[in-house]
Amino acid sequence: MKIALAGNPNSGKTTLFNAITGKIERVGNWAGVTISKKEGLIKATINHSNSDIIAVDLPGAYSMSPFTSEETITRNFVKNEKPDVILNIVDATNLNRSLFFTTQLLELGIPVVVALNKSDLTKKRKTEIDITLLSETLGCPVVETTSIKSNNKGLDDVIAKAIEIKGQPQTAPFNNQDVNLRDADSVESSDTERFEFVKNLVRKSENRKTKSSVQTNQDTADRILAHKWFGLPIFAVVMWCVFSISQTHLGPILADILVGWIDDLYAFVESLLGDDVSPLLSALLLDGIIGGVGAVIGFLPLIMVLFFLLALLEDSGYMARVAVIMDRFFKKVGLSGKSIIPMVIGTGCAIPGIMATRTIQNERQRRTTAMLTPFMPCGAKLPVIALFAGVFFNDAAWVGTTMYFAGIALIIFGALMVVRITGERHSRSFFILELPEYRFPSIQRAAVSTLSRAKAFIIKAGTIILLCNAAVQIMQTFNWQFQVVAEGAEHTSILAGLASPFAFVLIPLGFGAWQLAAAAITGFIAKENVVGTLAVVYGITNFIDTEELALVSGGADVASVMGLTSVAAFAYLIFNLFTPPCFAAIGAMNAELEDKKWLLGGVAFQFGIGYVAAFTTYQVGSYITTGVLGQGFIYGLIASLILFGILMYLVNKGVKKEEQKLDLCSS
Amino acid sequence: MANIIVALTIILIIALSIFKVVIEKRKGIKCIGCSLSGGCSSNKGQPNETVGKRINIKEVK
Repeated sequence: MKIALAGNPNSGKTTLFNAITGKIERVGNWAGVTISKKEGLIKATINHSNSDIIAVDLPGAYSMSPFTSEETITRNFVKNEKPDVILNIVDATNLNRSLFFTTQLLELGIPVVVALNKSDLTKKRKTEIDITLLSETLGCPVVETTSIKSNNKGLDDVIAKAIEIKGQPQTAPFNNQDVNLRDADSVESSDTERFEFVKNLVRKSENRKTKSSVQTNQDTADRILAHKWFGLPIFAVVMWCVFSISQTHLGPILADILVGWIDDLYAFVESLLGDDVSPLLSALLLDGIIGGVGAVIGFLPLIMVLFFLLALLEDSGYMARVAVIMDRFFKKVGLSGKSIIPMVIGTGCAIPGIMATRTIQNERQRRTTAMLTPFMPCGAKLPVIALFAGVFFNDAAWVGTTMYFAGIALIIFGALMVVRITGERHSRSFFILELPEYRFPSIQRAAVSTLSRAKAFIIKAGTIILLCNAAVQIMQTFNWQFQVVAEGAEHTSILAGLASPFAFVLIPLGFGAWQLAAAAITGFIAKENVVGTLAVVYGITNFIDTEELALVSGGADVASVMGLTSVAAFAYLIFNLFTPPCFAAIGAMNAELEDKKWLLGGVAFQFGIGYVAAFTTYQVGSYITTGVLGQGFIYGLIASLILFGILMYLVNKGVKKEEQKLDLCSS
Repeated sequence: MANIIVALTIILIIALSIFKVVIEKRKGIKCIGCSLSGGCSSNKGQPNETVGKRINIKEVK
C-alpha cells in the first residue's frame, strides 16, 4: 500500500513523514524545504495492518496547476502514479488557503484523508474547528494531528483511517476538473468558484477567537526583526552571536576535549609503533592518516555548535524573516527574494542549496541563484574559517561573520553582473513568502539535525579526507623517480611538482608556497581537505590545541611556518571560500544550470571573483599594515585588469542587447 | 615483521575507506559525507516548459 503525503508548503508534511516513518529528512519552519519526493516505510508501531505501507513525502503545492517544478512533482505523482490513499496535510491555522488544494485532490478519485495538522496551535489560539461538519462536507475522514510530537495519537488515527478507506469511493464536494487550462478565463472563473466554496465551508466550520486583523506580538516582532533598515544590522548581530558562541566560547571548550582524545590516540599509536617501524610507514599512519583526519575532526565540535544554533534559528521562524530582509536587496540586482532560501540551505551544503533553486520560476533568476549559491560558506568551509580565525585572529567571531556577509556581498555583485550580461536589467520580480509563526525552537529537532550532520562529517573525514590525506602524504614522501625525498628537500616531491605551477599564480595573492597551493587544490575535492592537507604538509597534528601550537612556538610561528602574514592568511581564506566549490557542487550546478555556457561562465566567474577578492585583500591589507604593497602586485594587477576587462566587455554586450530589445519594443 | 603489520593496517584502513566510498556511490549518494545527500535527487521532476506554458497563460490574461 502506498500513501502520498500532499499539502501546501510549510504545512508540516516532512515533519509528519519523519514522525510516521522514523526517518530524519530535512525539515524547516518555512515553505519550500522539500523539493523532491521521498519514500519511507511507515513504522510498525503506527501501522496496525498486516502489510507494509510506503509513505511518499511530496513537495508542497498550493494547487494542482503547478507554477514551480517541485509543485509539478506533486501534481505528476498524485495524477500519474495513483497512490492508494492521499494523506492531505492541512495547516489547521490556515484553512482558507489549505482547503483549496484539498478540493482539487478530492476530484482525482483517489481516497483522501485530511490530517488537520498543527492542531496544537489552533487550540492555543482557541480556534474551534467543527471536524464533523468539515468531514461531512468534504466527504472524507478528517483527523486532528500534531506532527511535532511523534507519540501523538493523531498519527495512529490518521494512518488507521487511511488503511480503512483504501479502495473506497469518495464523492468530491466540488468538481470542476474539466476546466480547460489553456483558457485563462475559465481557469480564473473556476478558481474563484472554488475559493467561494472553501470560504463558505470555513465560515461554517471554523470559529476564531483571534481575528487575523488583530495585531499580535508576532506582528510587533516582525516590525522590528524584518524592519527595512534595522533588519540587516540585527541579522549581522545574530550571526556574530552565532559565531561567537560556536567559535570563541562553547565550541573551543568542546573541541579541546575531542582534540585531547585525538592526541591520546596519536601518542598511543606512536608508542605502539616504537622505533622498529619504517619512518615512511610511521609517517603515513601517524601524520597522513591520524594527523590529517584528526586535524579536520578536531573542528567537529565548533561545527556542531554552529549548526545547532542555525537549526534553532531556522526552527524559530527567524530565517524566513531574513528572506524578507534580503528581498529588498536581491530585487534591486534582478534576483528574487526566493533566492535566499537556496542560499540559507547552502550554508549547510551547497549541493541541496543549488538543487533548491528549482523553486524559482524565472529561468535567469534560477540559474543566477544556482551559480551564486556556492558563495555562501557551506559546512565544509567552516573548518577552514575556524582554522584561520583560530590561528591568525585569536578565535575572533568577526572572521566567520565577515565571511558570511562577504558571501552575500559577492552574490549581490554577481547578480548585478549577470543581470547586465544577460541584458535583463529592467525585468522586475515579486516575492511572496508565507511567513511561519515565530515559535520556541525545538531542542530535540535541532539536536537530531546536528547529530545527523556530525555523523555525515565523520563519514566524510573517514573516507574522502582520509584517502586524500594518505595520497598527499605519499606524494609528499616521494619524488618523480619514486625515491624518498630527503628531509628539507620536500620541494622536489611529486606534490610540490604538481602544486608549484599553481603556487606561482598565487604569489600576488600573498601565498605563493607550494604547500598552500596544494591545500587549495585538494580543497576542490572537499573543502575540509584544505585543513587536512595543511596539517599533513606542515606536520601539524591539529591546529586548535594550544599545546600543539606551542610545539611550533605559538601562533606567530605557525604563521611563519606557513609563510603567511595575517593579511595573507585572510586573503587565503577568501580565496578558498570564494573560488569554485567542490567538484560535487560543480556537478550539481551542471545539473541545475542545464547549459554548458552558464556552467563555464559560472565557474570562471567564481575563479575570477575569488582571485580578485584575495588579491585586493592582500595588497590593500599589506599597504595598510606595512605601508608597502605586497609581492607580485604588478602581475596580479594585470591579471585582475584582464578579468575586469572581460567582465566589462560582456556587460557592454548585454547592455547593447537590452537596448536593441527596448528599441524593438518601442518601434 | 612490525613493518608488515603496520603496512597491512594502513592497507586495511585505506581499503575500508574505498569500500565505504564505493558502497555510498552505489547507493546513489552523490557526495559522501553530506547529511542531505541521500535526499538530493537528480530527478528534475518535469521540464520547465510545462511551467512556462502555465505562466504564459497567466501573463496573457
